[in-house]
Amino acid sequence: MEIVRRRSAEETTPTAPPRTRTAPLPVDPAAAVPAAVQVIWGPMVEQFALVGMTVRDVRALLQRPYNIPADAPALVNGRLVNAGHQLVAGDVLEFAHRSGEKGADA
Amino acid sequence: MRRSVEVHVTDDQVVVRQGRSKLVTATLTDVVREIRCSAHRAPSCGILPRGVRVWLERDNVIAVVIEVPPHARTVRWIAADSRAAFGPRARYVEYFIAFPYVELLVVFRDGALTGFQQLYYRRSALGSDESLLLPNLYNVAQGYRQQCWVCLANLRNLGPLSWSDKVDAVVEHVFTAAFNRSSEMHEGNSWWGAMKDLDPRVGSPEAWQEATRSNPHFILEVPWHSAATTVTQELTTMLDHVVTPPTLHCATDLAGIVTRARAGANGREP
Repeated sequence: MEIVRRRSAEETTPTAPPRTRTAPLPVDPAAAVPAAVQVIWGPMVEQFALVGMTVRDVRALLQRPYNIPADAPALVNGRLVNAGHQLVAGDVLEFAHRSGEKGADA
Repeated sequence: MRRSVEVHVTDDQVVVRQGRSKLVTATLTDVVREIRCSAHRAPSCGILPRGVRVWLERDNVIAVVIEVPPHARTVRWIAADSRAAFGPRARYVEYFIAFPYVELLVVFRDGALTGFQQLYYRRSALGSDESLLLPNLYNVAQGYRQQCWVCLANLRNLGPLSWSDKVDAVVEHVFTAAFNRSSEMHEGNSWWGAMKDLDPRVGSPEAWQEATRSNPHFILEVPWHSAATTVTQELTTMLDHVVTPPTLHCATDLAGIVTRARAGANGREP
């Protein structure tokens, strides 16, 4: 017996931050969450209203719910930043995460 | 005395009889469709894991579509001058690059990977349109009866993990394990090589990074080539490769299923 479940686009784009799961970099920029910062950590790609907060504040806020290691280096828009760096709208905050490489000996 | 109802299956016809009276006749195909509708079953994972847009279950085999929204992130990419194509002697460079919607189609058996795993792009979230676009990544290649097979070779055994952790592990590996020329060596091709001349903004990792820094939305405007397929087409084909759907059109097919069910029941007996 085969069963299928499809999740609608609405189900994946709820509205209330900070638990919100919105679509980052939407086709229509007007549809973006105002004053949002995109946070990337491993498989997590989320958008939050974090403008004005420092990287230190964000780490403290998200560390436990998303299991972000305290020593994971922080990058903003691909550049290493210190804990006091203040976030502005449209920033991409990444907590660096490496997991080896693809490919294996045949 | 009330006579019992009997169901007779002959060739592709199902006949319901009571004594000498023929009560109703239907095709076996229609009967099977009705049985399927009545057998409502929730996905075995319970709540769908984050990012899963489609969940398709057939016996102990599960096919999912994981959708990762557009975003920019830092990835490790094989250096142009790396003498090793992959492996411990390969040299990598970090680039900050934007991705469009990434659709991961993965088939699991008993919770473990099956080798049927593909990666495609899209410009919008899956909706009524479910067409797919060809990607431009290393480690995504034509091979193993798949158009866009994605390498998950170094991923640990996912079997013991929860469904949520399995999905996270796949997404994490795709984006955080370094991209290299392993598919050029093993599968003889990659979609990075095939799409290098598609658009100068993604013609090299340096150009891709520069375009991302000036406007990360550009990635949705790249003229990605159509994969000439859809999510449903691909997922069904992948699932069929892993577990053949039982055909049930005639009495002989039903006899085969009864035999397999009996064999299964025997196997389950203590």
